[in-house]
Amino acid sequence: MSFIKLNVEIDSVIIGERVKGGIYRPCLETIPSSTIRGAFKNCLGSEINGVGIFLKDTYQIKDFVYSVKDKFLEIAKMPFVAEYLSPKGNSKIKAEIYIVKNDEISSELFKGLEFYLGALKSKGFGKTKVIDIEEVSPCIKQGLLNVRIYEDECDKFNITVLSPIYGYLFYPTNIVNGFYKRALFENSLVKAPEIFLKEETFYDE
Amino acid sequence: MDKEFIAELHDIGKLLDKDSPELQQYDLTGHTFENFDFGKFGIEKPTSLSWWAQYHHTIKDDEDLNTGDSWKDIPQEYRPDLFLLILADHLASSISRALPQLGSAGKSEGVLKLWNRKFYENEKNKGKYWAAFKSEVDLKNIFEIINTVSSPEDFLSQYNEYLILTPEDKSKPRNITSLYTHIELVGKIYRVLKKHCEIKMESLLELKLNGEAVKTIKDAEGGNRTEGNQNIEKGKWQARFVKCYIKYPHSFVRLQDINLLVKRNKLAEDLVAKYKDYVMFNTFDFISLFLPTGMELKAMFKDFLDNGFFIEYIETIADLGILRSNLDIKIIRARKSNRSDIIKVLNSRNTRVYRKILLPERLDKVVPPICDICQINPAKERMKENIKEWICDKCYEVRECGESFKYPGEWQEHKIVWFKFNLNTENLESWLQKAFEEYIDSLNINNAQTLKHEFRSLACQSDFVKDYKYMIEAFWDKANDLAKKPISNYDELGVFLYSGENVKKIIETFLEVYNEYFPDCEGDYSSPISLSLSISNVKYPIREHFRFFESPDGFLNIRNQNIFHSSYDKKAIEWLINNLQSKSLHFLYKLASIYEKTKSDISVIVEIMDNRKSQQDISDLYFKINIPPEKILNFYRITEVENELHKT
Repeated sequence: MSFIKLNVEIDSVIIGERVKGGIYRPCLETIPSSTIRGAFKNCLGSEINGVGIFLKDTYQIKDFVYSVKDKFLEIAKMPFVAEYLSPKGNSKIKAEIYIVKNDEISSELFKGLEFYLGALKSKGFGKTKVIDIEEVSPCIKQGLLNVRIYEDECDKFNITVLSPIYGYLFYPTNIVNGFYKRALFENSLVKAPEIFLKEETFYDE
Repeated sequence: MDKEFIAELHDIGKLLDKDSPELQQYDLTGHTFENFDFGKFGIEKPTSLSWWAQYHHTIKDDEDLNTGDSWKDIPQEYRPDLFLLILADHLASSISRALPQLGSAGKSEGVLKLWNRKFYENEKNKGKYWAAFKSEVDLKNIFEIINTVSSPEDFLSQYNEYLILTPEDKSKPRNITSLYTHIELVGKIYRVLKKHCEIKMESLLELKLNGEAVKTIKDAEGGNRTEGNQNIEKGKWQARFVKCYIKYPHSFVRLQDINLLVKRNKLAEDLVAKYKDYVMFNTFDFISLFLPTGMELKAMFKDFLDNGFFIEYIETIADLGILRSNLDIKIIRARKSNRSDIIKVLNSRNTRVYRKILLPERLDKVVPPICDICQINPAKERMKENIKEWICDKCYEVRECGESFKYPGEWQEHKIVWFKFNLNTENLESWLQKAFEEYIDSLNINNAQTLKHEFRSLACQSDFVKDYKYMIEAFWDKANDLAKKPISNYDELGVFLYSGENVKKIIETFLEVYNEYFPDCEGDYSSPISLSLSISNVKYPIREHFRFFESPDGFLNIRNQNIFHSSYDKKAIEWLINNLQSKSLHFLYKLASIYEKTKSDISVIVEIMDNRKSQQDISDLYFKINIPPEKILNFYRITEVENELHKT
């Protein structure tokens, strides 16, 4: 199985952990398939399956204080603090996005593409630029998953679940609605292309 | 006459000082009494079932329990207990009993703890002594105990102070486990085997485990080796060691949500009480189990799953002859490095290691809102202090149950420090292996390499965990006035009002108790024990403190919200506490700024060399402990500088 690997650079990004309540919103350190799906649907208008991994040591976590205004009542709401990933040093955040290659999706589609990932785009977060494109055909190995992915998309990524850790990722059905869909989370034991693994393991199956 | 068979009594003779002048006339040898001449000395021979445990060293592994010569003195009805006791004794030993002669490393009087080598010497200086029995009266008392003790707990509690000082085996290097832990584990494993073993007593005695009948110890265990060509026969009986990590997906929204830890501790307590013989040892979030092959884990952890926890576990299934708590590490290492010699032996013995997760039922999809806390269950809208929250019934129940911790009024608007001790059981296994190897190297013995490979860490782990619990108890005895325990019966977690002095005192108290209990365990990145401190404003979300506590990088980890995050080893922190002086602050800022700009150690060294006369203490610190000036500065800022945090 082949994947299109996009090496991207990001200014700063917020990928929420779906904690909608409260006044503090932590940020994920991985790019789930739901975020990739949303980003490309917005930018290219097509359903694209992918997941992403931020490269360690290219980012740090910082806080962003955001005061929300209730536009209907014209009053200020309780401000909240959102964590975001900010570049470490003078460079940009680096990430790898892996797209499932098929007849309808070619590498050309992503050449020099600029798009937005994650939340608070209106505040300048999530601006992403594709720097380099490769095609990769990784080996299948047993290991601990390093990404978050809808459970029903595992087949598309050639992931076989051995021992899952389930959580939920938001799945929008239209611009205002959606539901939380069961997803495979980090550290699930799987057989998968090695690019999706945190570490290789050698357990009995 | 016959009470319960108390396996814990099998090594009671190890508490007897045979060299005591009063006992010379009895000509005692070994640590068992099967050959003791009761008639000659006019002492009544014990008649209890437990008496037959004294024969545990006389039985030959390859002799049939019905017809074997070594079994002939044991009445048929007592043979199953003795048989199972021998298996349990082998499983609980720190070094395989089947190893060849060890050479002449000598004997030690008291236990040698790998992490506190002078433990026995220090206890002896306080007037304590390993032997519980030294006189003629004591000798008679041993037989009385064998006859009359009514429960394992009675024996363990009555002789605790001697059992913890006496080694499982006085000959080096087997002297690394306390007799207390050894007999405790033997007792547990014996009772698990007994519970699951089918015993048929007809004309011939038959013992079956999981449908497999055996006649000799060797039949049950198989060989004792995991590599090479000798002694690798397949055993008929297999069992499991299971390492269970208790985890939760919850992120704490409000302070009361830490009640989840109260719940976890209570559930763990209940499980340990209900399955006490299956539990080899446990910490607050880890349980080590010995189980027969057919026993379901899901039923054991049902209450955890019902309350939203999940259990990640590593399960090793092997013949009893090679089964040990750290076999999984050996198997995985062999597979990783493709050691076909080891893999072949393990496969031929049907040895398996699984990594699995027990999860509560999960819905395919959840229609919003989803619970803010567990992020798993559908939630209901709830209002508190004019803030809307979406919490599921279970998490709400946990939040509202019991007495919840509240910050004292005078802490409001101030900085506070949350701290948590952590015992990493994976690091502990690696550390014990390394420490054992160093100990072997320090002795002049044959078969050093074989011994290193055959080390069984279970008993040492259990001893270590006990000392860890004592250490944090001792910490709170000293730090009770300094900090508060948010959960009264949970010693790993604390919080206090920030001041440089308080931070310093807490760290000093930690170092004091650590050095008392673990003086020979290097406090570095590989240390099994760590302490993390998270400094923030009182309003800072509690979940973020816990996120920081999840993965401690080093021995002492300090995070100051939005300012820095540094880890220190013990050596560095001791140097910093003892040598850092206030006059150095400006120079430290200068060094940190140089390092920040240049990322160059050379530039920092040049600056220090240029100022070595006026900044002698910084120069010494930098060259002796070799940590970046930024880390020195960070430590200085949180422990020494008045109001420094508020400035930043």
